[in-house]
Amino acid sequence: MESYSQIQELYARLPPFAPIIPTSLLPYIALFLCSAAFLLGFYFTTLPRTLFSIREVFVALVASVLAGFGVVALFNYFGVYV
Amino acid sequence: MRTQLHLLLLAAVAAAVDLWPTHQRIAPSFVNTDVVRTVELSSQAYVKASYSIESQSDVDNDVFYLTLSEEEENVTGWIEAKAKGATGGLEVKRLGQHAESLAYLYAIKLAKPLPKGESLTLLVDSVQSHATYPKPAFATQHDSHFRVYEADGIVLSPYETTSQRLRVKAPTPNVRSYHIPSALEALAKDEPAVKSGATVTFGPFKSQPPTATKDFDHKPYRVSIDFEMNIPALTVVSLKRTAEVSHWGANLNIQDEYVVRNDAPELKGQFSRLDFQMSQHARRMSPVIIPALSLQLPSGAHSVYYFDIVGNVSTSAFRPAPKAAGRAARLGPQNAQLDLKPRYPLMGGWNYTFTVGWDAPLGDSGRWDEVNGRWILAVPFLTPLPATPIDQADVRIILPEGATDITVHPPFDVALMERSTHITYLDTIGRPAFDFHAQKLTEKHDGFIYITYKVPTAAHLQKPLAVTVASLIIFSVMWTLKRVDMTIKK
Repeated sequence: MESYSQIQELYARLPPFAPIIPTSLLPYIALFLCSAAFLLGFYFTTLPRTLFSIREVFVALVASVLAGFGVVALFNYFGVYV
Repeated sequence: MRTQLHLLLLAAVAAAVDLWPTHQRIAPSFVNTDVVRTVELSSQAYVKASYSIESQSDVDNDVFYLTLSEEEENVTGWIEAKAKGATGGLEVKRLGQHAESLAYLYAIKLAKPLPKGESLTLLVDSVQSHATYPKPAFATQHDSHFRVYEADGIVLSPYETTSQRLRVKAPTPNVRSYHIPSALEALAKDEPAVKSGATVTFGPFKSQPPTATKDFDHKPYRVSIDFEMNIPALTVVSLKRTAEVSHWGANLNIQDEYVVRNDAPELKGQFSRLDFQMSQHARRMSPVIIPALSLQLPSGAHSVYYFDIVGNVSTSAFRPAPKAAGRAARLGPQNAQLDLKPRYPLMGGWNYTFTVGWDAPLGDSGRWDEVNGRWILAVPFLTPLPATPIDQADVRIILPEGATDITVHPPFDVALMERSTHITYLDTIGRPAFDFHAQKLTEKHDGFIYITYKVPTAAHLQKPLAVTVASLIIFSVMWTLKRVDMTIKK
């Protein structure tokens, strides 16, 4: 483990933190992903009532993944920095 | 049998060679040729001591021992030392109470051992908090503010002192009185105490043998000065800081919970709002009243919130840091200013509890170390308020979920470090949190806490995954409900 002055000197010359997804894009990502998830969820409710349908599973999965990223972006947009 | 023999041998060796300085006599390897202590009084006492020392031996000459009396030790919150003419500070190590003389020992490690006959001047700066007390202890809201400062007239030192002086500088030239005991007057070379403007000089005093000994009683040599104070005397009784890191939002949120107290003479009688408004209007407010506070926030701060137990406090003004360009940018980032006005003006002895918080881009505090694949975060220990002591501080740093290989580097030795798990929005396993507890802090303790940590990519995806699983559960509930017949059949 480095000493305090070593860490201090290292900190002074390293590049700053940069997120993978730029924060300025987060509101648009939130809007796009959440509305896509909502529309897919709506489509899920219109699907016929067969006992087992691969289409239902597929739609649910895609909507959930979109909702996952959309909700995280939504939280950050509203100032709850998760 | 063999282990017993080993332990006996170890004990014998330890008894024969007493290694710890607090349990042995300090070697007389230096002589203080001139000691000048200058105390600048504000709401804290800033002591600048200059020790001109001459080496008397060629052994034991690399460490200079500084001793403080019990009264000094109770109030001293910060000590730093450097050699006159040299750049960079010297290491000051607190050793604790000396077993024989009961003085508190500090070891100043010199840059290189001082050969016999050579001289050196050490500049020792210290900050004393709560070193003055108001006299009288009670005052109305119109009265002036007088305080008393007491100090050891003779410096406590394990070395012989040839000449010494104590200079006390009051914040205003209005020094009501100063007291020098007769025992100390006898030791003066010519004038025992001289007042010139706002400065009272005690001394110079004649040569003294080592005073940090068992037989020497420093109490008959204590001096005091009674002066007028025109600066607000604010104390932060406790500060609880929470710093939360977010990688998805690239944000560092810092929240400070303050309990502050006005250390002016306690309010005598009732608080008259009418008199207060009139004095504000006429701009003749007594210095015992604190109507507002000002905090310097980092330059990228935004979304500042200020509330107390009643709710949001709207009497505040936030001035974000101006956009620096050209020469101003090269000088460094400007501070943003937050002016806070508590719900009520703080009269003498009154407390106020409030919470302040702000968000700042993580790029200002976090750095990416490509070589080791880790992030380094720097969080300031506290936001310094000018000349304000902080009696108790707890700093909590909350790292992103799934952080591993964490190393912490506090700026000074803290009393206690704790590790815990903090659970907040969209968390599954919880976030690692580190608590640092410290006491008796001053505005000089605003160094950075450096924390390095790694976050694997899988840990980054834990949050969207948690929401995905939650929505899949909702979908499966909907799927089940679609196939359940809930109609009422005949």
